[in-house]
Amino acid sequence: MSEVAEEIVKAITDMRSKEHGALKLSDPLDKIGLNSLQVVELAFVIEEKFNVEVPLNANLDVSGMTLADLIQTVEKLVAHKTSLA
Amino acid sequence: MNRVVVTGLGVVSPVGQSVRDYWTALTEGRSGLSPPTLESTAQLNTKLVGQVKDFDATKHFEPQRIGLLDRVSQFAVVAARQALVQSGLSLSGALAERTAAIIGTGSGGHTTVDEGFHRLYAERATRLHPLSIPRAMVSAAASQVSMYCDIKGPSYAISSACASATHAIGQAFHMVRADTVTCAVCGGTEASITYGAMKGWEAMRIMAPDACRPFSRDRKGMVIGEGAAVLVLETLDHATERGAEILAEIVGFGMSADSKDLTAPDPNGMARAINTALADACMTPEMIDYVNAHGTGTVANDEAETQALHLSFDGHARRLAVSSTKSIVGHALGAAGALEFVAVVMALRDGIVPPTINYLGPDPACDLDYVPNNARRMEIRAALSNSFAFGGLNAVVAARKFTG
Repeated sequence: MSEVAEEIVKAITDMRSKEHGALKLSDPLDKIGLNSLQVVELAFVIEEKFNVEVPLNANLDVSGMTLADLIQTVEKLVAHKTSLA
Repeated sequence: MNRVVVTGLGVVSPVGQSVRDYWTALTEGRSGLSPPTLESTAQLNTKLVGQVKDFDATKHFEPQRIGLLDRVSQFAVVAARQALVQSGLSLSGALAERTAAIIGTGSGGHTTVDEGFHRLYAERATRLHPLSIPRAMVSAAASQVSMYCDIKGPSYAISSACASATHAIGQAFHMVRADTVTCAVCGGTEASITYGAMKGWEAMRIMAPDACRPFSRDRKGMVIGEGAAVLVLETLDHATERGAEILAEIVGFGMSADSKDLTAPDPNGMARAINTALADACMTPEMIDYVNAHGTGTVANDEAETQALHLSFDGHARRLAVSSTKSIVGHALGAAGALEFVAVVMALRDGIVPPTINYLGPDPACDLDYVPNNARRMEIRAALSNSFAFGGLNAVVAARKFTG
């Protein structure tokens, strides 16, 4: 797993309650056990960690998005930032 | 118990600084939202706010006294003066002692706090202006209204985030009805479009980038507004005795707490406040023709509020006219409930329901009549004004057309 993937999985695991099982990359974001405010908090954690802007909004429908999609989006943002640096 | 009537209204809003200008914009469906004008706009991602434009404090206050009032207090005093002028009340002697000032606000003197912190943390100043605390305190607006309007009865602030003004109006209604006071000057004020507060709102990621379109498909969130609205309430007997024009009658007030979540709304909590207001007014759901919704434009609120209206009104829900004033002026937080209740009073008086603008088409989860885009002329016997705050604090006022 990439550093981005590891950090995101860790952040979600820390945030959600313990009764949830292991995260799978194919898990849809609206089914991983985070409410809409926690999704916003997740975006904040990622932004603080990698200094990027994550396009997640509490009004966005994330039902079509999986954990893998999110990781890929953030990896692209981080790569883009690194290429600019 | 006294019957309670409204005899005066005052408004400072993004669409005008008088009731006439405000009501004209609402009925024409003319938006007051625009890009923010703040000193540090470059650092803001916020695309749209409902700011009060061209508010000139020097027109309303003596230069040597302006420094005593944060923008939030200035708005409140200007709106209170307008309301008292319309009511024709002259507050002196025993009546001043029998008049209350109850003013809701979510965050009080936020401009003073924001500027003070900028001075300390960014400019490395070592001292603040000596009036920082009395200008910023949440109760400052209530104090200033009491002083500028010669009110000597019970006066204080009510703070329940986005329901502050509605709780204040309800509290004032209770006091006049119970004969604790004869008159009450009540409402809400907010002026927190500051760099610090907007950054806080941005972090919540619930702000619309394009327009505030409550209950519509493709709605993308709320837009922060500011302003103040103040109403004069008095006993029916007092108003009749002095020959005052009666604008509407307040008949019920309901409150509840979701007791669930700091941000997510709960239709059951909302419905309990609506039901309590109806019961307090001794009204059946079928007697209500119009609901001025909380209608923030977020996905969650509008869906939950629609469910709440179904729960409370059952089959009558689809016959209600429901509209959101926030589509036009944004969400003025602690002032919102009073701005919206002024719209309800004018709607009852004129027989016009103001529209929900920016409506693109139905969302399957929002299946009521939201009076899309154009005002509607119709007979309104009675109406509700809904306020459902973050933290699950709900308040609903019921009013009816005054028919004697």
